[in-house]
Amino acid sequence: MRRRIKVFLTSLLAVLLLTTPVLANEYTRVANLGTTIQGGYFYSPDVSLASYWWSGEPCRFIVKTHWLGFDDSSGNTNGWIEIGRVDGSMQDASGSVKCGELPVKNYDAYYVATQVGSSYDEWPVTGFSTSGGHSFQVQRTGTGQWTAYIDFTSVRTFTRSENDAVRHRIGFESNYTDTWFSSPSETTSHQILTNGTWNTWSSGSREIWNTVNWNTIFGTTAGGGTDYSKATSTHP
Amino acid sequence: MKIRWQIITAVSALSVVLVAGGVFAAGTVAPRPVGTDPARYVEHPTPQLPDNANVPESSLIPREQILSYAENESTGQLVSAELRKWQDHERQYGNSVTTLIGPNRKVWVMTMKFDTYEDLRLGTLKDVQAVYVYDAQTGQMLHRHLDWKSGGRREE
Repeated sequence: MRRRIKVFLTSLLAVLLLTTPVLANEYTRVANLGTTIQGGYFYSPDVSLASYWWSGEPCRFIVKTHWLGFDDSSGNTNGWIEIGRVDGSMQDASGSVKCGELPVKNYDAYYVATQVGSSYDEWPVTGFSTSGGHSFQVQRTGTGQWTAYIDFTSVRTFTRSENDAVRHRIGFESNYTDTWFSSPSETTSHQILTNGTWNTWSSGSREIWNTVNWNTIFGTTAGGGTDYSKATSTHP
Repeated sequence: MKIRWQIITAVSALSVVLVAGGVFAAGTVAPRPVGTDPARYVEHPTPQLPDNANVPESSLIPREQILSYAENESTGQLVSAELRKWQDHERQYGNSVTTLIGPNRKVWVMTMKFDTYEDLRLGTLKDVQAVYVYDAQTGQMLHRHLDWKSGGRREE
């Protein structure tokens, strides 16, 4: 009997480990998966963020972001192109404080990031207003060419081997339990570009992985909805 | 007559391929999200950090300050610290460009190696080469690049 319990618990642990993403940070977001995607877009009426970063707590950050995820020709996950807002810590060798052993600085800005294989790039982007509403977009603009936009302005153009993305994700990420975003926080006009035509999302899934009771629903109606063209995020 | 139809057919087929494949040839307009105004798009914005090739080195951040950043990264080893043009740095990486920074903008490029690097979003990375790029006039960080051999954690 004891052996059966041990086997059961071991199996249960294995299932949990296999199905739970290995993430250290807090996430709440929506996803449009498994579609041939040539672009992703959303508008946020309010991009306010507060990480509560200070020199005594230099690791804290929060981002409001979206990205297109790619698979390689063998169907293996192969990175992403991301554009979003950041408040709080970014690793920066010129920083005067450290998060762990690495220097950081406090940012209130936008950023662009990308990963391909085991190579990652991050570019802080300044010069754009961080108050009010703003639009975010990543779109294929040529063969193997992808452009990231803030408020319809190109901030970076990428060259990739892929001509289609397979994931569009929109949401929040943080590493501190009491970070703040305007709540409820709406993102609207979720659109993807497929076969040369932009359309609002007609389906999607919610990915809520956090310990801080962040939540995101589709639509703007309390209690959830099926208007996949928009989402509403809340925190306690 | 037959050759004319062959040419028309070939051009039509090529047009379908170009549109379906999303290659936006010169003079064509990329499709834009519903409800947005295509005229608002700015593909080549004016640089926020324009070329400064004529700014003397005496007006730039000194190399000693960049070396102090390397010392600040106490768990890493400095490989190099070079004053370069922004476009030369971007060409080295080859996979993206921006017009927000002038191509001849002077930048400091600092390369370091780490046995272990704890990234805020990627997690623990092993055997890492990190490149930090700073504007040589303003000191702002423009780019951070990581290459690693193992580790990393991120839902894509």
